[in-house]
Amino acid sequence: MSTAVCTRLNEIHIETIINDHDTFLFDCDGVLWCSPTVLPGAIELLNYLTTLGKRVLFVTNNSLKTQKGFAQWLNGIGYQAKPEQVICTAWITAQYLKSINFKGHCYCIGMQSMVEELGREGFHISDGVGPDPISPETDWIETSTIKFDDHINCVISAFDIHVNYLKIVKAATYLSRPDVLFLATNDDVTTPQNDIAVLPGEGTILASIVAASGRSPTILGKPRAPMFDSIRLAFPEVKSNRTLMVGDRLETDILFGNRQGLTTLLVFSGATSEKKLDTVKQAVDKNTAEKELLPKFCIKDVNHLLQLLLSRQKILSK
Amino acid sequence: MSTNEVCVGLTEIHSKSLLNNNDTFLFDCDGVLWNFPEIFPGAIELLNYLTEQGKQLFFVTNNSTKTQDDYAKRFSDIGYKAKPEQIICTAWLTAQHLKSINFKGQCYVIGMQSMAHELEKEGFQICGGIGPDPLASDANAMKTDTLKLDKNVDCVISALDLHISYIKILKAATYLNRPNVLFLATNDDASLPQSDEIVMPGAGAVLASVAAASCRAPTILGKPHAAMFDAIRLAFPDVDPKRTVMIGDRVETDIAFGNRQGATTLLVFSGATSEKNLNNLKQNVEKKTAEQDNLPNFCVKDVGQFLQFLQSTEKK
Repeated sequence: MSTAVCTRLNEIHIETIINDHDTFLFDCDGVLWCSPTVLPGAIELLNYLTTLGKRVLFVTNNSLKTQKGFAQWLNGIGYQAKPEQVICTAWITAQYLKSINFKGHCYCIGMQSMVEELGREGFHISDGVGPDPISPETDWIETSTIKFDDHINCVISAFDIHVNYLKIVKAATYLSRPDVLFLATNDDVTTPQNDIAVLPGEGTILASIVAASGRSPTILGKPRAPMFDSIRLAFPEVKSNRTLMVGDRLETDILFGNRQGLTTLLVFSGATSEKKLDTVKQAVDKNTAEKELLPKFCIKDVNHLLQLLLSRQKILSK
Repeated sequence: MSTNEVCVGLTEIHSKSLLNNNDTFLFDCDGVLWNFPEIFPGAIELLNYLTEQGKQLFFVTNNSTKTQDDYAKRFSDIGYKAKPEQIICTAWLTAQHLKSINFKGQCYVIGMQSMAHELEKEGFQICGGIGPDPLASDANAMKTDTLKLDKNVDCVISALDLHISYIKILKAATYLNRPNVLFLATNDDASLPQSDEIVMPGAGAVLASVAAASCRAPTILGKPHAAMFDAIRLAFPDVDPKRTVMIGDRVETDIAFGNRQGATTLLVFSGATSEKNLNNLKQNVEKKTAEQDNLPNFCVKDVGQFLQFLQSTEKK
């Protein structure tokens, strides 16, 4: 197999793309939509691949999503998704705890999605979700008034808009106790941008817990392996060498795909521009960046992939 | 006088030497003089003793939640008449740093009221970041269209903030994404000194989230960085690092700071570092997996013991 990288995907590759891959993994933000707009051709592409009998899965680091909620949302925009097609970090956290036979209670700095997905597998989040207010006039925390739960033996760091000092106190204190597991859904430092503000991601919350506790978590989301482990546990027929990963971020989607031995396709519709890819390519040539950051193929956007597939269809039907 | 010896257990003879060969004594506070409100035995007596011996004392603390005046009052209340200019605390230091670079403009400050007090005292303007800035308790998403962002922010400062929140990190990161915005941090201590088992995140934990979200690295002012000693020497040009002793409880801040400035360093075991920690560190330095700078010249149980050694040399 060719070891070429950053090849511009065109007609000569499309046979291989279709014939050599049974499973198509899609990152979502920047690939299928740029919130709030669904990108042209995205839904048609998903439907087309599904009618061809391909397995389509959505792999997202966004810890606010649930399998059920996300599938419903996809249904609403024209793609009949089943919940099990959604590989989101709240769900893989529950799968991970299941895989290690976890018993106990969790302190989770996260949102309702974490409660829902962990709850489905019978895992209990005792605390950490929702506001945990500090009095506005406070200039000191009286530690003797903080309530700790002695049954907590796992701390999970996810996205939380209600993160505050008190929650980090609790997380770091639990983590200082022996045998307390430390998990993180992912470590993306920003969520997909808008023009108004830089939106801190799960990674920024994780950074403060890591600093305060001095501990390193097991991180579950892209680019780490647990995401693919969960896919293979749920879909044992999935083979790495017959799977295509489509994403817009080199350090999560593409790195994830390459490390797992998947074929990787970068789209330029999201976080990575052609110029940025070029910069990274130069860094790799100079040995200052990892080779696995580079995708096998690249293409402007999913609409162009769809057009290549439809052209091939036309040729075949003649 | 700084020696090449490290981790020497302090004795009476060393104590006499330290007294004779040094004019300036720098003290960290938390874990050295007190675990507030518990003042360590002999602490105040030591400060008064050294002052009577004609020594110049400074208090060098990374704690950004108090002003010079707050500390001066605290010392006064417990029996040592400290002047505000003896207090080298990071809120004050931040104002001095901005003054030294001729800073003009507005600051977004993630910190406590003490930061506002010291910065405004030097005429610097703060456009937000102090005190609570929460989302509604029933919010389940971040809506950026209702966000109030200031158009003119020239500096973002990260300090310890008990009211840290998602919105504040978002604002800091957004401002830091604009061109020519300065990024300062008071210090990066990961946690605060605690006498119980509860872990209290320090300025470093707040800074970690702002640095991660903005993908920028700040200029850090507090120990072990030099700014604190620069500020002392600006105000007191006679201070000679070779005739200075730094007394602290944390190797990676106090001791590294003192060593890097060429002072003699004395570690006390009454705070963040135990004898066991120090032994581990010494082994790591020998294996070259830790920095030599973190090893103190001398170590002693606590300031009370140091005082006893000094007083017993006097009796002889």
